[in-house]
Amino acid sequence: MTITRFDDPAAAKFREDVSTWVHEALPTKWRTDRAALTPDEVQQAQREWDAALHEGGYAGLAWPAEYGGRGFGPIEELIYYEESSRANAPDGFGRIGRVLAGPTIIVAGTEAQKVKYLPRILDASEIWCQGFSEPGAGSDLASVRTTARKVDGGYLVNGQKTWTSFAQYAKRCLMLARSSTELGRHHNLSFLLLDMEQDGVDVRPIRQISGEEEFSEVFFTDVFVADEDLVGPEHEGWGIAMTVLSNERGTTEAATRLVEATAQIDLLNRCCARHEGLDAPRLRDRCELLRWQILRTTEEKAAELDWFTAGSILKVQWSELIQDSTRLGVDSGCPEHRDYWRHHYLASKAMSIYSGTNEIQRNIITDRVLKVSR
Amino acid sequence: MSTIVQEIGTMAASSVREILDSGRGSPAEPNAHLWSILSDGGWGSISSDPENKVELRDILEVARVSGRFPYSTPIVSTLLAGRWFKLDEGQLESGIVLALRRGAQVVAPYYSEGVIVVDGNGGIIASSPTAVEAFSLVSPIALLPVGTMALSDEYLSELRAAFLAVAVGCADAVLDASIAWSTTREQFGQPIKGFQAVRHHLANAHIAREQAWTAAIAAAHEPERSAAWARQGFALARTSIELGIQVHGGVGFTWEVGLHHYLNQIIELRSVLGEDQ
Ligand SMILES: Cc1cc2nc3c(=O)[nH]c(=O)nc-3n(C[C@H](O)[C@H](O)[C@H](O)COP(=O)(O)OP(=O)(O)OC[C@H]3O[C@@H](n4cnc5c(N)ncnc54)[C@H](O)[C@@H]3O)c2cc1C
Repeated sequence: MTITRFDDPAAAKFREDVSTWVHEALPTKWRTDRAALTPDEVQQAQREWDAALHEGGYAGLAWPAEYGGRGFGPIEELIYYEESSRANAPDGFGRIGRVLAGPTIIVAGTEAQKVKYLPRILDASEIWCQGFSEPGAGSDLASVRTTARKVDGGYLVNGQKTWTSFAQYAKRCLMLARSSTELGRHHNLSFLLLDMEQDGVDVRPIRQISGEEEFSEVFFTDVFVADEDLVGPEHEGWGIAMTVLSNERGTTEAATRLVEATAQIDLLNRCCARHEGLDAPRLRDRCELLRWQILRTTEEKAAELDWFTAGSILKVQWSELIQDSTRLGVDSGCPEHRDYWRHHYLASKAMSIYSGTNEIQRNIITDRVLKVSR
Repeated sequence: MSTIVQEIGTMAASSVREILDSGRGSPAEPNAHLWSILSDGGWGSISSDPENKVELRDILEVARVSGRFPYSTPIVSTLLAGRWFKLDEGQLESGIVLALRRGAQVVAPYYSEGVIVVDGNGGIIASSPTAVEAFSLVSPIALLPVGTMALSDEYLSELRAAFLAVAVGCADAVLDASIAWSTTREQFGQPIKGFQAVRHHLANAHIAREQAWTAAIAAAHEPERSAAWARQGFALARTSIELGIQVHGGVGFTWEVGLHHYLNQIIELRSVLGEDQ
């Protein structure tokens, strides 16, 4: 039985368990020296955290037990994120697998796909990337041009993806490709699980304004994907891609962002302590509001109320909160954390762009939530 | 002094713009080549000749165009130093950088080999910098020996106005790039400039940079309030650039396109002025 309300006594018990575990499992360096870690050390801490999550049974909280999950619902998942946020836990490296690939395979994948992929997502032994965007297809995702041509036993993929986060570390890719030239725009795409470690996959990292190379251009030349790795019906990949995107904008993603925002606002409060004019406490209030927005959406989800479209609100809310926090961090002029804030300020510029730009979220809200006709 | 630029200011700005526009090179490094063209053309010394009647407002005009280009030259500090201090032609031709207090340090932004560093009274500092911050992405910032006399409040207020004008130039560059990008980039079968959301970002970016420019001019007129004008103005210029990055989508987040140079320049200028302290 999963918990459906936050005031359930079982929720309090679960919270206590999580909190105890998180405090014990946290990588030491992360706990003591977070702001001073180099990008490599951050990655190391993230990988350690992946392993800890798996060992502790926290990697797939809301996944069915038969696939190595705990079979919990969104409430337990959120409690976990809240407690890990309180403890300033890092974000795992295997996140695209856990948040995007896993849940998509669970709802839309075949039995064989679940058996093959889910365990390695849970222990983060296989990193995933999301091959949706292309040079010509960003906001207008349905215009992807990468093709998946039917051949004996599978598909040959040709084309170019871009902005693909973690592609250089990824073993697998969620691939959205055009499998037909005849059918209509939203009915000619197929959703494939592509093995990145084969000939014909050329990953070229792109340097970002924050100085890192987290995303890449990826070129595919006659890359084979077996029939078994098609998710959902052939040519009906658009619907699957939408499932991925709704997870990307969902409560789990928002909760991981809450972790990030909380940690940053804690630090910000210290950096701003010397300034009267800087309003870090107000950001703390907004962070609390985000927490309640997630709680509310999660309870509605657990009660199977209409929560789906709430994702766009969450996405706008967390991205703008973190952007405002990091901007204030720069304004604080705190000499000790000067480089930290400059880096995170620049990095946060991407948040209103990825997972669907904030303009697109606002379009979704007027078009599909408010149903305001054009 | 009027809010309107004089002919000399317009003329200098358009020449400086033309020269910088011909530039190439890394944004993170001082551009000795461009500086030599500027200084050979006499643009670094116009403010020191009383006959030119150059006013602070005219220097703002030049500062603004210089901000459009991600190249580091000491043009702004040289024009200000020429206005304030007794420096000869040869010194101005080398380029002048100014000693500023940044927290416990004294620093000179836009430093490069060959420039002359002056203290708060226009005295030439003979000793070399103790260190140079290469990272700064705008230009190297030299750390000067502790105890160096930094610029007094009187001069600092003019410098604030001029650096804010540079920030407005940064916003100009990003807005121009954003308009151009919104015209060429197509999504959903049309240029993105057709989407109201994008149009409003462009309009808001313009509103913000115009207000920042007003703040720079106001700072030049009201030295006693220049710190407040700078605080407000830098924030507005930054808003303008942030909107431009948003209009670029994923492309705006790439190092290669380089919009962050402008953002960094604003952060850096503001920080050497002590406005983020
Ligand atoms: C750091 C980062 C990581 C990313 N990681 C991944 C990844 O792992 N996998 C992946 O597939 N993609 C990834 N992306 C890509 C991301 O999803 C796209 O950048 C995003 O969808 C926007 O597309 P675009 O960059 O082509 O911008 P465009 O779609 O060209 O948008 C440019 C501007 O126009 C606006 N615009 C476009 N259409 C409209 C409209 N109809 N109405 C109003 N405004 C509009 C946009 O909001 C934006 O401001 C990542 C991006 C970033 C920045």
